[in-house]
Parts: sequence; structure tokens; C-alpha cells
Amino acid sequence: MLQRFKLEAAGVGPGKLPQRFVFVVKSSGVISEKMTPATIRESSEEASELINEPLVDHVLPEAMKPLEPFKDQLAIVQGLSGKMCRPGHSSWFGAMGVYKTGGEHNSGVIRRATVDAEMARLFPSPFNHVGLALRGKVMSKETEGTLYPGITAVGPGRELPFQASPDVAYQQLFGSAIASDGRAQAQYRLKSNLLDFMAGDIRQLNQTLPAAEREKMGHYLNAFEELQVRRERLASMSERIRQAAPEFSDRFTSQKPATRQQAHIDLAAAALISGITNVITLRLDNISTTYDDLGLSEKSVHGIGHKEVCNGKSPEEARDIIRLHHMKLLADLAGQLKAVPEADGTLLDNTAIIYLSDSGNEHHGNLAEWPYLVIGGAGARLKIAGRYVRYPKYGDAGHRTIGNWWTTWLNAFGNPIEHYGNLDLELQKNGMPQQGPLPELIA
Amino acid sequence: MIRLLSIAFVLIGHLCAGTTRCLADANQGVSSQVLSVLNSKCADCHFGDEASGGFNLADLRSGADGVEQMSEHWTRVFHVLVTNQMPPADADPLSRSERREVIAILEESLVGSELVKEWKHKLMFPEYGNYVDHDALFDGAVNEASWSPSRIWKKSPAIFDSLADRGMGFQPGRYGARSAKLAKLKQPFTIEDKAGIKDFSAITMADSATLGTMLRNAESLVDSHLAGALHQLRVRREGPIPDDELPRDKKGKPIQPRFPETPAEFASIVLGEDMATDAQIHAAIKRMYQLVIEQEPAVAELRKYHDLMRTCVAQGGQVEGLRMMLIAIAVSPRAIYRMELGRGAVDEHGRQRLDAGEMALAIAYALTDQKPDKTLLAAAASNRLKTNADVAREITRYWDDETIEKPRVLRFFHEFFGYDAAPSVFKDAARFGKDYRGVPERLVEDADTLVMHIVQQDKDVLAELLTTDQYFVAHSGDNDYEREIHDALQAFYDYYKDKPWRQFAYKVPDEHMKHVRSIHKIFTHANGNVTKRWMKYLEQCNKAGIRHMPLGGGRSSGRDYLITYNLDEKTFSFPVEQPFVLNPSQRVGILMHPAWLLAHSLNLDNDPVRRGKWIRERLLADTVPELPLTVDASIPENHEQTLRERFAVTREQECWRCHVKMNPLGMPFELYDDFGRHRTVEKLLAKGQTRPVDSRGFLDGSGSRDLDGEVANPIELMQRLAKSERVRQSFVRHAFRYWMGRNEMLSDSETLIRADRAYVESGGSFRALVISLLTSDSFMYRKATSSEQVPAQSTNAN
Repeated sequence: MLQRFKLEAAGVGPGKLPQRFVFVVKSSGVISEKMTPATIRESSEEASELINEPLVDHVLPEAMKPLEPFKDQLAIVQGLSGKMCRPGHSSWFGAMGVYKTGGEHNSGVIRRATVDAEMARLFPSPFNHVGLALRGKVMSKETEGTLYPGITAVGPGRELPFQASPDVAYQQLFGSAIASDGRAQAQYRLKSNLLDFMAGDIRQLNQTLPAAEREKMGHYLNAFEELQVRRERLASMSERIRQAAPEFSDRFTSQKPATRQQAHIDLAAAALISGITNVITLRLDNISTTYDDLGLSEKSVHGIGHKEVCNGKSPEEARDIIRLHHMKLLADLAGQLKAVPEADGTLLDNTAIIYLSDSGNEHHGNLAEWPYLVIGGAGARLKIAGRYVRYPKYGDAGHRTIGNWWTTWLNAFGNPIEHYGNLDLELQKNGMPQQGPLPELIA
Repeated sequence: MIRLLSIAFVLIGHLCAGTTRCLADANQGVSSQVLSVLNSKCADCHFGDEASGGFNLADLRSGADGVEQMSEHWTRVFHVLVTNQMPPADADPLSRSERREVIAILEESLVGSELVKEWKHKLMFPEYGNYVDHDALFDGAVNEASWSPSRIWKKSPAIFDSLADRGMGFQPGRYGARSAKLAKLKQPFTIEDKAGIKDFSAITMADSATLGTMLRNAESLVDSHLAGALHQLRVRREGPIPDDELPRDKKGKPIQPRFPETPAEFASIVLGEDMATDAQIHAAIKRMYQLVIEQEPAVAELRKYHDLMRTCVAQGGQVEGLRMMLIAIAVSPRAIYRMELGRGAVDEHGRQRLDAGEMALAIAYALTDQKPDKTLLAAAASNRLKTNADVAREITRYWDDETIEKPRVLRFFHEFFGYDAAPSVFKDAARFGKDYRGVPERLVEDADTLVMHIVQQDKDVLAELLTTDQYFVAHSGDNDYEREIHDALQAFYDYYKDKPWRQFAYKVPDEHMKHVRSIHKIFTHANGNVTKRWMKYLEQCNKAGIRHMPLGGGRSSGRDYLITYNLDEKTFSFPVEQPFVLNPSQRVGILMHPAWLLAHSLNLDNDPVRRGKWIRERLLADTVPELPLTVDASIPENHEQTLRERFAVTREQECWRCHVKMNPLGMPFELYDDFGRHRTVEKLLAKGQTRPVDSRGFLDGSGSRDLDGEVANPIELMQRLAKSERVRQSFVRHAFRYWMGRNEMLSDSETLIRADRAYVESGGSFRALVISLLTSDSFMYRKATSSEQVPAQSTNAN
């Protein structure tokens, strides 16, 4: 109740609640069979029509058990294709940008803002977008500091950074509020002076640069401008930040992947609860990740994806262990958000945690299907909570794409775009409609 | 002819629509040539009912597809041509001029196409450098004067590390480590850690993440520098801190706060009773420039930071005003970017030469990670960096001065060969059969020593790197030092051999310690445990009649890694003088060095594809298409077959088109296991089964019919590659990319030819090659470009 009062006092009253999004992007594919209740799998094996039924009558697969308490706010969405994206180890920006780009190691060209950044634009916040990553690019071995996984962009040519070090992320997100003291006001004004000076100075410098380099320096200029705006907003909410920030502990400095992921989950939850951001993308792992603290020390996700035996476990068993761990993390995040009252419900009611892989349906996704899990109420703007939805398979009548899927999200949350992303020209050639949202999912 | 004209009509009609530029205005003759080429070189496979690859020229002719789809067809043609995917190797190739003209017309016609934009963007990345036409770069037909784009170039991680190691005004770090006072500073200039040349000016930039780190670093640095003066100020105002407010040591004594001395220029402002004078502020600005930018501020810069400080002083007082001004300098664009704009007069080619300050920095950053030395700065200040001869003099001086550390030289070989990645390859240590800890790191050290030895010899450097039969093993490269250590250990053994060292406790009796310390400082901490361990080994060597390996110092004493060279620690007699001839019938050169083999291996096996790709791209200046999108690139796990046999799946037609460029070059390295050990039989996955090693391969693309052809093993492969002109030129091209921070343009032809000639005429001197590159017009001249212009202008005609 106290929390609710505070939220309302901060101007977050019923009717104007911000919507929150957490995009949880794993590597090595999401295998839809493993995410389908057995009773649905058996009854609908040959079905060629849209399946859309409540989950309540079905038992979740073993690896999804941690999500059982959230079954009424869980959606399993399958059957959407993404063949307009690059298949393989990663579709890079295509996974949330719906187009083909990149190579095996190169994240390619950034054509447009990805859906997470679009959502951040619809629901602005001091940190418009927070990126937390266990590792960088799909095969990268980098684990510390600022990384660029190649999956999120705020606009053409403008990739968004991710923070890999939980301790640094902690400071970046909550440091200003936690460290404030009596000098804060004076310091604040002085720093504003500094940032204004720097922005003006870079603008002047830019006049002297050749055209090709102005864009490069423009990124630095934007950084100052964004920082200034953010500071103004953060200053007005320092009390809320202090309340929400997790207690600093050694999990924020751990090198173990599963512990680090938990730290990222805690940071994400606190960032959403405090209101400093509404959109988070978690780069949960990449294929160079070795889950040694899950007992899978012999092979990386890549090796397991390539069907190698790991610590005596078959690749399927190893994937089950990782899948179960991911579901526990998702449940933990959902649980933290559900514990925060908001309006007549909880913060989870106005949140969508979207779990996907940047390689679609397999380790080397062929992208004939791109499975999703969604946890949370999503502001009741979509009719997916507590449902299992499966679209007809690629090429069949009624088949739809991830372009339709993300268009649905954008439309439901305030962006009236006619269609988001590139089209699948093969489907187009065969006269299959693929423009627009999925009307059956919009509330 | 009817078919040809029909296609011509459709092409022109469709390119007039949509996002593409109309071709109707283009010269009809040239357009016809495009169509003529497609018709004559592509129609056999891509026309009619059995058109392959889902692409049918008839679709263009019929015009049945929509505008968007037609545009897609043409971008597809563009893509397969620029990426050398078509025509396939077994088909009639396009001539160089045909290819160049077709691509140029399509590029012009498809302006606005996302694929063309993407392609141009890719050409800015090092891994796409080989798509620039190799023959055109070296045949001398290009007459354009060389230049680099006018640019800003984000400083490298190594430049930041060097700055922090040297202390930024504090005590420098010891043994090349970060200064202790700067432990909180984080690396702001991250760069993607991937194989190959990494630091290109066009693809590295500062953004909000950089700023976040820069700001935190700046605040930490400035606060540390001001802490001493601020403490003095507090003591002056409030008196010394009472003892009861101070922390206590173990004995209960109060610990007085200690701060590093604040630079005098800052302290005079912090401690000054009056408002800081302009001179004081200017002095503080200059000092901060020295600390974080390592350059002198310009007059305009003095003025603007002076004004900023005055403004901040008015709001927050003298100390806070100073602090904000210092932070501003630390996050300024000059603290992040190297400015290489070219400020000289515009010449007849539209180029501007780097001015003296820019030139001095460019020279220093080419070979080191830090500011120009005093001599170079003095040359810049006294108008002695004006001519090409001036630049050559300074580059040569830098290169030849052994007291100037030049880490960028070894780093080039790391990025070129990639052997330094060996420690990052995860291995199943149990298969190694010995202790694998530290093994890859030691191999990299050995490879580094070998590389730098060959660079110092400076004769036929590339050929030597590829074919030398000499190696360093556990050796520093300094024969005098190794002799000193060897003799000291012998004296240590001789002293102890008749004494009861086996009974030593941890603390060795003083009389012995006194003696062994007098032999050499490596025995300073030779406690009982160390003495027993060393003496056991020395005794074993003595009994076996072999020379012992070095012990102590900064090196690991492990000898398990010898097995990667097929050496046995029980029989290996350490050559004090190195390099030494290891075993030329088993391995030669860097590519057969265990470090390279490890770095280019998989967790459990060899990686012939990556090894072949490496040779194809780095030595043959050729390209390999990206992994096809629809292929699951895994090799079947057949326990009864050798790796080569398991790779038979790549012989399928759609795989072999690319794998033919890699497998025949990578398979010869099956002569080694995935730890780099030479072998005659390959262990199969089926337990206990072996098969004789087949190390045959095939070389093509060397540019010489005499060299191309079957090879029996990797040694023969390397010996042939080392004789290839194309391989030498590929090496020159990679050196160019590394030192220019960009891919070649055709206009760099003169630079490359000159560098290649300098290398050849000097008898294969790497020094001559680098000096030639760093005194080239590509290095010294700049030209402003629009954002549409990209570094590469043409595609490879191979």
C-alpha cells in the first residue's frame, strides 16, 4: 500500500501507468516442442489451423515448472516465421528488427530501431533503454564492461550498448541516488554547466570536421545531450531509486554465469520498480557461454548446440538443464515484479517479459518458426495472457511472421505503424498476406 | 540476340522504377555490355526451366514480377558478383574488366538499395579488405595520388592502458601494470576482440557508453589529484585531524592520512587565498592537457577552458570551478579522438598534408602507444617535419632506437597470424596427458620470441616466418641472459649437490642462503621447498647428461608444455643459445608452431576449415564467401573415420564451392593433433583405433603455375607459399591495413607498390616495408570525404 501511495504521489496514477518490457534474448534457439504442454502437442500435431486456447487446462512441460505460479499471465506463442532474417547462429538486429543482416561474426548493418528501442520510445524514462549482457556478440568471449551484442539499435546505424559487469551496472543505474549528500545540489548545477559546455563545444568542433566524420562525433554529442536529460529526470526521483535498489553483494562481482544472470535479473527488477527505465533487454547468454555452475563445464552452449555430450549429459539433457535455469530466472523476475502493488494489481500486470532467441527455433535457426514466451499482463493490451497460441506452419494458409508479431506489439502499445520490418518475399510471391498486426491478439 | 535485347529492355524498364536510379540516361552501349555479360556467362545455368539456384534470367525477361521483386533480382546479381560467389570456379569466369564494369553499372543503378549500402558498409571492415582488386592494386595502372580520408580516430585500448600505466601524474605502475593510484579507472576505448586486424578508424567511435566510462574515470582522476591539496586546505582551516578521529593501526597508533602530492599547478589554485589569476588557470589547463591528452592546448582551447572555470567558480567556488574544468578536459573530444584532418595547404590533387602536430602524433602512435618523444616534438615545433625526408628521418629514428618500446610491431604479428588466441581456445585438459595449465600462454611467449627474433634479423622476414626451421623453446631471446641463468643454476647445483638439501626445512640455513644469493638474485627467495624442487630437476638433468632448462625469475617452471613440440623433458637438453633447429622434418615456421595450431583448433579437434581460410585470406589475398545461411555447418561424428574422411560431406556440390578454397589448404595440418603435436597416426574417436595421417593438400591461387598444385604436407605447402609474389603482396596489404587503420583503396596503389618494392629491394626487410608505408602519401595526406564515400572502390577480380 505504501508503495502504491508512493507511485501515485510520483504521478504514476491509475490510467496513466507506464508499460514495461523486458526482452530476454537467449542464444542457440528456443525449441518449441520443449515449450509445448504435452496435451496440446498430442491433440494438435496435425492441426493446420490457428490454435488459441487457455493454458489453464494443461500441465506445463517439466522445464517450465517454475512458471507454474504465473500460468495465468503466461503466453506461449509459436508458429511465426522469420525467414526475412538471417538464419544461423544469430539473426543479429533482425531478431527484433525483422530484416536480414550480418554474417557469421559481423552483426551487419543497422537498418532501423529494433522493437525494444521502439518500445522505449513509446514509454520514455530516464534510462530509456537498459541493456544487460552476460556476453557480447554471439560468439564473443568478452564478459566485462560495455559490450555490443549486435541485437539492439535505437535507429539506423546506432547500436545500443549493453553493460556486462553487474557491479558497474549497479553504479550506473543506482549510484547517483545512493551516493547523494549535502553537496548534491551544488554539484548538480555545476555538472549541468559542464555538460552544456561540452555539448556546445562539440557542436562547434563538428563544424570543422568533414561530413563523413561529423556523424561519428555526433554520437558523442548525443551522449552528452542524453545524459543531461537523464540527470534532470533522475534528480526528481532519487528517493524512489534508493528504496528500490538491491543491496549490493558479491553476486554483483561474481564471474559465474548463472550467478551473474541472477544479478542481472535483480538489477532489471529494481530498475523497473524504481521507474528509472521501462525497457530492458537482457542478453541472457551467447554460444560461447559455459554454464559451469550448472554442472555443464565441459562444453559451451555452442558445443551443446552442436550435439556434443557435456559432463556425461546428452545434449538434450544439457539443454533441459539450461532451459530450467532460464525459467527459474524468468520466474524470479516475474515474482519480484508481482510483489509490487500498482493501481489495482501489481507491476507485473503492466509488464511483458518476452523470452526469445536471436537464432529463432534452433541452434542454427532456419527461422521457419520463431517461438516466444511472454510473462506478465502487458497492460491488458494483448489477449495472450494465459494462452497457448500456435499459427499454421510456414507456407500454410493463415501462416504469419514475426513482422506481424512485432507490428501487433507496436500497434497495441501506441505505434500505429502499418507493418514493422521487411517482408518475406517468398511468401509474398506465393500471394500470402503478411502485412499488419495479428488482430486476434490485440485486446 | 532477341533474348539479349529483351533482357536489356526489362533491365532498363525495371531499374527506372522504385528506389533505383533510372538507367535510361546511361550510355546504352555500356548497358548492353552488362546484359551481354549476363547472357554469355550466366544463361547456361540460369535460364530456362532448369535454371539453378532459384534464379532465372527469364524472370527478368518476362517482367512478370513486381518492381520490388525485380529490384531484388538485380541486387542479388550485384551481391553474387561482388562477393565472388558467381560464376562458380568451374564455370567460365568474367574478365577483370567485365566484372568491374558490370559491378560499377549495377552499383550506380541500385543507388539507394539497402543491399548496396550494406555492402559498402561492410567494405569498411577489415575482413572485407580482400574484396579490393588485388591485381589492380599492384599492376601500376592506377595513377591517382594516394591519400587517406580526413578523419578522427578513436584512441586504442592500448593507448589508454599506456597512459594509465605511466601514471597520469602519479607514480607509474610497476612491471608494466596500471599505476596503483589509478586502479579505479576503467577501459573506455573498448574494441571488438575478433581475429584479424582490429583497429580501423571508420568503425570505432565514442558513444554514450564511452562517455559514461570517461566521466567516471575523469572524476576519479581529478579527485585523486586534488585530494592532497584539499586535505592541506582543511588542515589549514580546521587544524589537524584530532587523533581520536583517525583510524588506528594494529598497534593502536593513529594512522595519519596520506595523499599523493597534488600537481603544483592545481595546488596553487586550491590553496590560493585569492581568486586564481589567468596565468594560474592557464598553467592548470596545460598541466591537465599533459596528463590526459599528452599535447599542448591551443590558444583557443586555453580561452574556452579558462572561461568555463570562471563560470563554474562563480557558481561553486574556486575548488569546484577548477574540478569541473579539469573534468571537462578529461572528457573532451581530444582526449578520445586522434585528429587526423590534414591541415596543410590543399595540393593539386585536392589533398592536405598532416600538419606538424598531427604528423608527430601519427608517427608516435604508429609504432608506440604514447605521445611523441621529445625529439619528435622538437622536430614538430621547429618546422622539421615538413618534408618527406623529415618524416622518414623520424620514423627511421624511432624504428632504430632500441630504447623506444614499439609494442605495435609485435601486435601487428598477433593480429596477422592470430597465434596469441591460443589461450582462449578451451581444451579438454585430460586429453593433453600432462598439466595443461599455462601451456598455451608459454607457447605464445615462445612464438613472440621467434617473431621478434626474425624481425630483428630483418632478412626475408615473411619467408622466414613461414619456413624457418629454427624455434625458441622456453627462452627469452637473450642468449647472454640465458647463459647467465644457466650458469647460475649450475653453480647452485654444484654448491648443493653434496649437501643435505633433501632434509631442508622451509627455512634454509642462513649460511647456504647467503651463498646462493651471492650466486644470483634468482635465488633470493629459494626457500627449502623451492630448493628441493629445483635440485631434484637439476640432479635429474645431471644424471641424464642434459642441459637443464631455466628456472625461477618471472617464468613458470613447468616443463609439461615441451610435449607440444614433441620434446621429452627427460631427454631434452636445453640449448642455451637459441633459436635452434628443432626438427625440420616435423615442422617449420609460425603456422606449424604449436601456438598457431592451438589458436586455430577447436575444443576437441583440428579446424582445417579455419586454417585453410586463414591461408586463403591472409596469404593469398583471396576471399571466402560467408557461411551460407541455410547450411548446418557440422561434421558428422563418425567414430570409424579420420577427420579428413568426416569432412567428405563438404564435397557436396553446394558446400564444395566454398570449401574448395579452404579444405585443401587446411588439411595438410592434419600432420598435428589439436594440441599442435606432430603425429604419424591419427587416433579415431573409436577407442584404440588409429589411421595413418594423410597430410596431402592442394595449393591454388598462388599466382604462379610453378607453385600451384598438390603438396605432400604442410612443410611443402609453406615452402611454396613463401616463394609466391602474391603471398608477399598479401602480407604488404595486411601491413598497410594495420598501419593505415583502414582497407586499401585503388588510389593506394602507388603506396602498396612502393612498399612491396622497398621490401623486395631490401632483401625482405620488414623495417623497410613499414618505413615505406609510414612515409607514403597514404599515411601523410588527407582528403575530406562525404559520408557516402567508402574506403574501397572496387572488387576483387579473382
